[in-house]
This record gives sequence, structure tokens and C-alpha cells, in this order.
Amino acid sequence: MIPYRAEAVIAASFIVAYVGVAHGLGEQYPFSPLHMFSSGKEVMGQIVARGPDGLHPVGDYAQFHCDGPMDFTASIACGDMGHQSEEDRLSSDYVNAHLGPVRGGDPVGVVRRIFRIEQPGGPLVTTECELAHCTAVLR
Amino acid sequence: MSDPLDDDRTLAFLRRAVAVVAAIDATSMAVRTVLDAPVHRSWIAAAGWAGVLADQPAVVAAIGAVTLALIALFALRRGSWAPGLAALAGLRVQHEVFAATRGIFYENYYQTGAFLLGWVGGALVARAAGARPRESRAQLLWSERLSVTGGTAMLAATWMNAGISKLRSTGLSWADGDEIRLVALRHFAPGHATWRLPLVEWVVARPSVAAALAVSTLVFELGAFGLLFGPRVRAACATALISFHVGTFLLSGIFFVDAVALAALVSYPWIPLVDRLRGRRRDEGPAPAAWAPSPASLRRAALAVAAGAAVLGLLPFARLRQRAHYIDRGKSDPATSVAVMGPRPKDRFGPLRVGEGIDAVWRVQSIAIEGASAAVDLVDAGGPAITFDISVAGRDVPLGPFGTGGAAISYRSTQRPQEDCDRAGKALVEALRRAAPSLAAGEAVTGWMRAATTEGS
Repeated sequence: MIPYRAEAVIAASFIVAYVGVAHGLGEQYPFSPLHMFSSGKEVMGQIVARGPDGLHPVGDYAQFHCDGPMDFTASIACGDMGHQSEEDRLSSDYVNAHLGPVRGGDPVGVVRRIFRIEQPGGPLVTTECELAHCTAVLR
Repeated sequence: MSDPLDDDRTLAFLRRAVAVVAAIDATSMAVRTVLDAPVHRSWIAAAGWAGVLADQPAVVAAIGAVTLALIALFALRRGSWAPGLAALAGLRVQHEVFAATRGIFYENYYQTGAFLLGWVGGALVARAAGARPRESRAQLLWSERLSVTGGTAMLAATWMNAGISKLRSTGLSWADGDEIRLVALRHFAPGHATWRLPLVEWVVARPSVAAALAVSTLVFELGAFGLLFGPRVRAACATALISFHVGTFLLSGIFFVDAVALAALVSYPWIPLVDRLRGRRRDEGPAPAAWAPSPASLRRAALAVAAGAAVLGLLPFARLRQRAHYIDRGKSDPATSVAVMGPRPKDRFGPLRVGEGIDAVWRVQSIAIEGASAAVDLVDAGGPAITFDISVAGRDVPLGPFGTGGAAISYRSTQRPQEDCDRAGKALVEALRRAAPSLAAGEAVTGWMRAATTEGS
């Protein structure tokens, strides 16, 4: 048996050390502030593709044909509204990695869905902003 | 009530079970890196050595294999702390490489690393207190029991950190539940209706339910230290945390497998349960004689740990540079968050040189660093200069009309007609794109800003 008081001091010390290093140095595996979803954002975005049969995640499409490589992080049309670094970057990457000639595809609009809560506890409003026109083939 | 964590078989089981969780992490990170690297290439260059490794599947697989071997060594060699530390180093390398492909560090891998670090830390404290695990079984048990305490403390700290981060970012306003509603809706893939959709819609439409979930989230996360109490409190605390993660999965599809597995492993009496199901306890022979270090050496070890923790606990107040996710680089980079000061003239900024043309029409008249942005005056033959501000886009810095790839570009109020501003802006964007064709213009601006602020004018 470990004496209760010694165990408590050691455990509390480990917790303080973890919290201190994580909040002092940031992302240093295995230390992390773990601030996922702690931003208190009132606006979030989601990039999807609107095809003839409705909305799909861009990953549902196997191939895209667009006007050159996409960069959804830099949309002049949509600005910063609903911009989310990871979502925008991963979606751009996905489309760019699947660019190429498309046979028998459908016209799709790559859109950013913007979810917004105007005031705390208020209704959640969803709007869309088009980022790009492409032709794409569903998987 | 005796604590199952004092039992030899439970301690042996825990060591192997934690190794299994770590092995799943190691395999998962290797596979995801190999699959993701060809698709998500935006951050590979920004990640330095980790990016170089991420781009080579054979190397990624080799690192994964070495890490798995180290984890197996940790599982098999009771009483030895070095394999645990080596396995942790392997996991860290794997995590760095994986993050290079995605632009972010993945928070659902941290719990196992934290537990492993705490386990190793506990073993080292036991040694400092005088335990020599290879000399007797009693000393081994004492050491491993302290390892479990260390691992559980670090594990609890991960949840507590999540709660602390919420309070640091938003104060108590996080408890209004709005972020939960937004996260739930944002993570639902359109066109993929599942049995979870009605629940998501129900919560999203009810702010009071979301607020109740938010309050319980904060209570559970900040109260995670309950995992360190006796068996009943530990089991209750783990059940609360697991229910929180199940709820998170139901609403967003995000499931922290490591966190749930480790909470369940350390908090429920698995070996006694198995014994009860079998109807008997396996005969292990006589229990080893209890061992304890001298009170003085234990006190010295505990005080040394407390002193070290006190120093580390002050780190958040030391204003050190915090390492951010790759996708968030620039927001807290000293090069782009310098204190606001007067304009500092420069003769160049990235590809732009004072006196040189950026196309056939527009020429750079002057460059100045102003706070976190570069002010660039462009002139043509048609009139006064147009000033453009170039900085790294972020939450508080909109991309502006010419923003590209994470670089914010906007022009200042001018008497020049709109079409002149548009033409100059497009020429500027083209010039920057030529210098940073990888689309990661924000990263490029960070580098140019760093160069401009560190070199003489």
C-alpha cells in the first residue's frame, strides 16, 4: 500500500505538471491543452458539394473537374465567414488530389454551409456560399 | 473494500492492456499517415523533418514497426521503465509525422501517451523512493501501483485540460451550449442520414438541452481527478466520463477510443469480475509480503516531484512560445504578433523589392512593417500609390478582397478608382502566388514576416 498522503501529493504533482507543460508549451505530444471545441465560436462552416440530388460530403465524389486547383481557405466570395482552417484545407486537398478529366459527371457546386447562432441560445441559422463550380462523379 | 489496483494480477493485466491500446494507436497512426499523405499534402512542407518522413511510406511503416516492438517490450518487461519511455518516444515521432499530413495534432491520441508518461514517471518516483522492482515481487507491486497512479493522474489531467481550455477561452459562456449545437450540426455529413440524425436535430433545436450537456461536460472534465480516488468513486467518475464520450459520439460522430478504453481499464475491477464469472479465484499461491520504502525516502521523493511540478506549473505564466497546430501557425508566431509600433521601412518583403515591378504596370514604391502586417505601396503611371496590407489571416484578421491561401491582403482607402485597386490587387496576388505556388501563402507570409522583422532595414 502506498501511503495515502504521499500518493495524493504525487498524483496532484503529475496533474499540475501536465497542465503546466500543456498550457505553457502547446502541442507537444503527449502534452496538449486539448482545446478542441473550446473556442466559443458562434459561426462554424462545413464544405460540401451540391449535386443534382442534393448535398454530399466532397469525399463522396471520386473525381472532380474544376478550373484549376482549388483553395477554399481563400474564398473572396465567402470571406472569413464560417472559415475553418482544418475543414477548408482538407476539402481543398481532397478536391485537388482528385482533379482530372471527368466523363459523364454531374455539375456540382462546392459550397460552404455556414451555421450561425446570432445570440446565445438563439436559433441556429444555416446559409450557403458557393466556392467553386465543378463537374464531378459520385463514387 | 480492498482496491483491485493493489492486486498483482490486475497490475499485470493493466500493463498489457495499456500496451494493447498503445499498439492500436501506433498501427492506426502509421496506416492513416500512409493513406493520407498522398491526398493531404498542404502541410508536409511546413512540417519540416516530420513532413519529409510522412512522404515516405516505407519509413512510416518502419517507424510504426519499431514502435510496436518497443510497446511489446514494455508489455513483457515488468519492473522496467525504459521500454515504456522508448515506446512513448516512438509514439511521439509517429504523431509528429501523422500531424504533418493533416495540419493538426490529433487529440484522440494524446490520452495513451499521457498515461504511458505517467506510468513511466510513477516507476521513476518509486525508484527514487527506494523500490527495486527486480529484487522482489513486493517491490515490483509497489512500483507498479505507483505507475498506475502516475498514469491515471496524467490521464485525468487530459480531461481537466480540456475543461480548463474551455474556461480559458470563453469563461463560463461555453456553458450556454451553443458550441455543442454548432459542432453537432457541422459534423453531420449531408446525404448520409443515420439513426443518429433525429437525436442531433432534437438537441440542436433545444438550447436548454445543449446547455445542460455543456454544463455536464465541464463538470465531468474538471472533475476527472475523481479517477484517483477509491474504487467506488473511481468507477462512478469513469462511468460519467464514458457517458460523456458516448454522448459526444452520438451528437458528432467523434469517439475518443483511447480515453474511454483507459478510463474503463483503470476504473472497473476486471480481474475480480472475471473471477466471479468463473466462480472461483485462480490460485496464485501466497501473496507476497508487503513492502514499503522508508518514510523519509518516500517523503523526499514526493517533495522532489512536487517541487518539479511547481516549476512546470508556472510555465503558462512564462509567456513562452506555444506550439500550435500547423493550420493555426502564424496566429501566435512572434514574427506576426509583434507589438504594434511605428512603421519600419524595408527594402524587401518576400518576392517584393522596392523599386522593382511586379508586372508590366505596377511597381513597388515602398515597404514597411507595421505591427503584424507588411504595408506595400504599389504605383503605376496613373496616380498616387495604393497601399496594400499583407498579413496572416486568422480569426481576427479577415482574408480581405485579395486574400489567398491563408494570407490576408487588403487595400487601404484611396482616391484611386475601384478598377485600379482591383488590377493592382490581382497583380500583387499573382506576384505572391509565383513565389508561393504551394497554396500555403499564409505559411509563406509567416516566413517573409519573420525574415523582415529579424533582419536590419
